[in-house]
Amino acid sequence: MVELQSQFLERFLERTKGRLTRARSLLDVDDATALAHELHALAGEAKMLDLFAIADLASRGEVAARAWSDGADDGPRATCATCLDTVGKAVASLSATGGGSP
Amino acid sequence: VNKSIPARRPKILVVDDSEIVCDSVTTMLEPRGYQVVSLTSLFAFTQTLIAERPDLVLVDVSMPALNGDKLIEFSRKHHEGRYVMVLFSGRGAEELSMLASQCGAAGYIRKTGDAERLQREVEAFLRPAR
Repeated sequence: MVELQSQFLERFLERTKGRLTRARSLLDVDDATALAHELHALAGEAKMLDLFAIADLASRGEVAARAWSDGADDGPRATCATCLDTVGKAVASLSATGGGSP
Repeated sequence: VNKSIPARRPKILVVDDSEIVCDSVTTMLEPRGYQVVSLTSLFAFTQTLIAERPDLVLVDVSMPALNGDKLIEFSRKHHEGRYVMVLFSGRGAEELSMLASQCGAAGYIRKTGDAERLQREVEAFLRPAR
């Protein structure tokens, strides 16, 4: 596992920053379906690298985005926004430390 | 002359739009004796199936062009169930089990960075075919 993380972490962090930028734009234009896809992909990559905190946040965001896409009220949209912010902070912290807990 | 024939390495096709996921699976399984081929887009899916004849196909559930369950449904119709296809996702076991039975997948494997667990689960799907 450590080997996987050391091999792919930098690439993951770089891709995730781009993914978060796209996800925030999707949130701005209310595209819940595409947002759910971005968050699903992010959760999948984080799980492969055992970054469970990020994976859980992204999964929670994905579930909310799917509920939003299915026509739920503004609650899920707010959950998506919170998840994106929290993932952003976790990624920034991970980038600063070069690996570790998230 | 008693030359032993090297055993053929089982071939795994990974279909996932994330290069990181595909490369992680390759990194975990190739040193354990598998040959891994990956596709990050569905563009050449059918051609790859026919050309590579994989022993097992791991299909991501959520992809931009077509979801994995729909891809498996399509493949089962067009390839008469010749390939062992399983859903590959980080979603919950209950949801994956339901999706797998709905689309006719052989089952599911949850995404993991644990190489031993991945190998064990891959083997469980390969064993009946050997």
